[in-house]
Amino acid sequence: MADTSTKQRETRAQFVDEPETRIGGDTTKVIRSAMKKRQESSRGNNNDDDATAIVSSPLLTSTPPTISKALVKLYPHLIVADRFLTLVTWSGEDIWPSILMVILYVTLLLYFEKITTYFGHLAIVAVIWGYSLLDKHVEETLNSRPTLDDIVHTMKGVITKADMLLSPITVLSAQDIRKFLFTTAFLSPVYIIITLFILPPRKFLLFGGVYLLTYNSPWSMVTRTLLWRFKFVRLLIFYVTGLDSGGINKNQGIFAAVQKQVKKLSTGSDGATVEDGKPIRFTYVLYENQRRWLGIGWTSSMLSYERASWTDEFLNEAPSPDNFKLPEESSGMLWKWVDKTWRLDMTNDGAIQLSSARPKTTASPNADDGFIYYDNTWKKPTTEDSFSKYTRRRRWIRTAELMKTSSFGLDEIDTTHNVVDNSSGSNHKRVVSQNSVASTVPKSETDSDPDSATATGSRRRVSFSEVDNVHIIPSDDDADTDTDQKDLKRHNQQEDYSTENPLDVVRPPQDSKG
Amino acid sequence: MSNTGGVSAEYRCYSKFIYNHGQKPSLTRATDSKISSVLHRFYPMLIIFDGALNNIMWMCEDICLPFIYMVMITLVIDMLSLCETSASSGKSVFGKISTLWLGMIGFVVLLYSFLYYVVTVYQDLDQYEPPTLDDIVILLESVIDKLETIRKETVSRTLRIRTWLDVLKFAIFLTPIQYVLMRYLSVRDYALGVVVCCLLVHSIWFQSTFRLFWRVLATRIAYFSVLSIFHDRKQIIYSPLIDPSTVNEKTSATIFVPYAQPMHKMSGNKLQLELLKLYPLNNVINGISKMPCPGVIAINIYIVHENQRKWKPNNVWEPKLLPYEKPKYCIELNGHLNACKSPWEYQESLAEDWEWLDDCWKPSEWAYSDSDWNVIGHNDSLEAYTRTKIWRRRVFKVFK
Repeated sequence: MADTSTKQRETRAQFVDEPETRIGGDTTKVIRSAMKKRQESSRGNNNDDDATAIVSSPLLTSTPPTISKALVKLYPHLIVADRFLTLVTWSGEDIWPSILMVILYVTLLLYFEKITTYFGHLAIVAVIWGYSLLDKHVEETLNSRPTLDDIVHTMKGVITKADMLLSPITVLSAQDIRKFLFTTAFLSPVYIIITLFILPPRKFLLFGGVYLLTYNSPWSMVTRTLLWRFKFVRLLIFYVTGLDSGGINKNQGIFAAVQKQVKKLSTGSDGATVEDGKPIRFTYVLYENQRRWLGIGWTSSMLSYERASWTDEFLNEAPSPDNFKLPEESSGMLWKWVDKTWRLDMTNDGAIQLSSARPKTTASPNADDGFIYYDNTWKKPTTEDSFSKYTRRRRWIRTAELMKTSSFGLDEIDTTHNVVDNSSGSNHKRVVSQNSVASTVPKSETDSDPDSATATGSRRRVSFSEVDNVHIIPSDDDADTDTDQKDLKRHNQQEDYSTENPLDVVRPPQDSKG
Repeated sequence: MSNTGGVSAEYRCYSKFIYNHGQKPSLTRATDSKISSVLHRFYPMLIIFDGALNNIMWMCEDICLPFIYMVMITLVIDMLSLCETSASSGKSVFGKISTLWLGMIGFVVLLYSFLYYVVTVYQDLDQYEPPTLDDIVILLESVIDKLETIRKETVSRTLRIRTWLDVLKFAIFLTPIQYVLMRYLSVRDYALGVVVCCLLVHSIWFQSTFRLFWRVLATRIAYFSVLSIFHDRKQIIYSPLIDPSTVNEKTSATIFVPYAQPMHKMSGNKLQLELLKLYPLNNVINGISKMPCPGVIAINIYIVHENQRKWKPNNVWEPKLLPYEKPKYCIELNGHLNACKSPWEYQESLAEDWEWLDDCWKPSEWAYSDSDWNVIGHNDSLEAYTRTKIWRRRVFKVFK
């Protein structure tokens, strides 16, 4: 008894010191309840409980009462949510409750009529009873005076499980879902025929529900990874959902390819003309595809099996200009835009003849500028819109440059020439020359003179496909000087054609997880 | 030097006061990083959960949205019932196809709007400014409030089911109703009705209609009479008004104290005073025996409740009460409440041989309670609709 009382005095002294340092406010109440708990527990065994009580005190004192109050109120709900998520994600140590849940679901759905007819009223009573039991449980947990650490721990568990549950959804983008919806609406007659003759809606709900409930179960994961190895399955999923599930990390995929290629280029292993430290100009090319829908007009909604609304020139899906970000710097390399904005290529890669008075590119085009029109199957291109044309596309370009940040001051770079200048120079000088380029290039682009672009020096246009290719196209005037690059281009193109089928690049979304 | 020091200290105090005046300190700096980080990770889930609760409770900015969802759910149920033999036989192929198509579109729209919501929540949190801790806590509190509201309504307003016995009672009570319903309704209509009712409960239309009905006295009487079948509420006996001699006969709380030798000579007031000295009102008395026998004094305590209800429009407390609840005055008798006359009328009708032990009735404070007689506290408040005052007085009888 005397032992506990001295301990109490000790702690009290500790707590009196604390409030001066904390900004949160008065937590005497919380502390008192914690101490009460500690007193109780210290009656049982002394040493262990003392340790835990001391651990919990820093969190208590450093949390404002508003937050701790809200958290304590949330705690019972958290426990319920935790139990539920454990059931659904099959993450509990005991998986039998989860199996029971699936069996219950199946029985309920199979014998719904009978259950409703004979036990409908009891089901309602049972639900309310279950709820009041839950409520009793909630009250009991509130009376058990949880510590903040308990709450934080439970919260972490809930977050992890919820993330697990939502992970298949959060990898999708809003665009994917729009595509999803469109595909389903488009294919709904097919689905109706299927449900009418093969799979009635009830059965569909049964299978769908069981699939969703067992989505996170170990067997389901193994089955999915096994099935994913069949190309047929992948094809089927692609056609049903309209979703290129290999392209979930698409944006990173493109840039990963860029980086790989850049690394290759900068090390000069393939005989490219690029040495360390010299900025390389790339022109990113994006194609904007549109389809005409009867009654709606031109929209960027495409059919599920055709190209995406934004692609590169090999019809691989690409991010739209608003979402297009240059890749992060890699090993001392830095990407930087040269053009201020994306510019529309009014000639659409030379297909449209423009009068010499009009600029070749523009940053703020009209909604219908620069399109080439195709029929329903992307054939028979014309520059004019007509009733038989259902698709169209136009070309956007923007130049960026890649330079070495680590090699500052080691060698001076003359960015206006493609040839390396080996004379050493100051860091300062280099920066100046950088700036001049950044400012001159957009100016030259806005000029009406098409040749002024080439006057800034050698420009290489690069477009990236998903198949690990950087496509370097020498600008026309430099064609004779950069024969090496031309070779490179030809080489890359060959690779592109060999992997023309976009389906080849479909990858499972969760291979790494499964 | 000391003077300037004092002035500067004063200034410092003053500026500190101004700094705190009118603005709450931000929670962000005052909170442990461990808790802030967990709360931040929890935030998207909170938003999603809050959105779901808003839809269930019809608290969205756009009230059409829950309605649209409800229509969609109805369509889906309609589609699911298609394979029922009784329902599908009456329909033409065209009707069947249209039901299927509508149900499917409903299902798809529901599914994708959920997916879209989740995806956009995560995207927006990524793209835009991250939330402050205050944002998170405000959202957290609103979610807790909503959960609490649902809890209160489900647990206290509807059927109170605590044990197996309640379930059994309900089963017996509801089975005939279910039987009748099933004779006239198809399973589809039954399921549809239940689902639509559940979805509509929190809508403003349902709530206002419900409140209008609740104002009708007949509704309440019916509700409480049904309820009284299931709950062993403290039974209240309304008639006849019980009189003191009956209380003395029936009560089991009579205490017998020894009729000591010195008391034998006393009578009337002297005896009363002596007893009061020995047994003050607020003390617990330990009796000596359970049965009346010669040489004891029986002491009974009368506990009379005075009940009042607050009436609109002037918020006046009046002894006028609703027919199904406690009467104006009632006396506690063996755990039940029994209607009785007012304490003052009681005073005059004391049974033979019994004498008052206390000089007068001792009232307690008013205890204020809500419309269901759940005690709130000792002060009047907006929530309080009823109040109770407890009067106590003891009687005694000598067995010689």
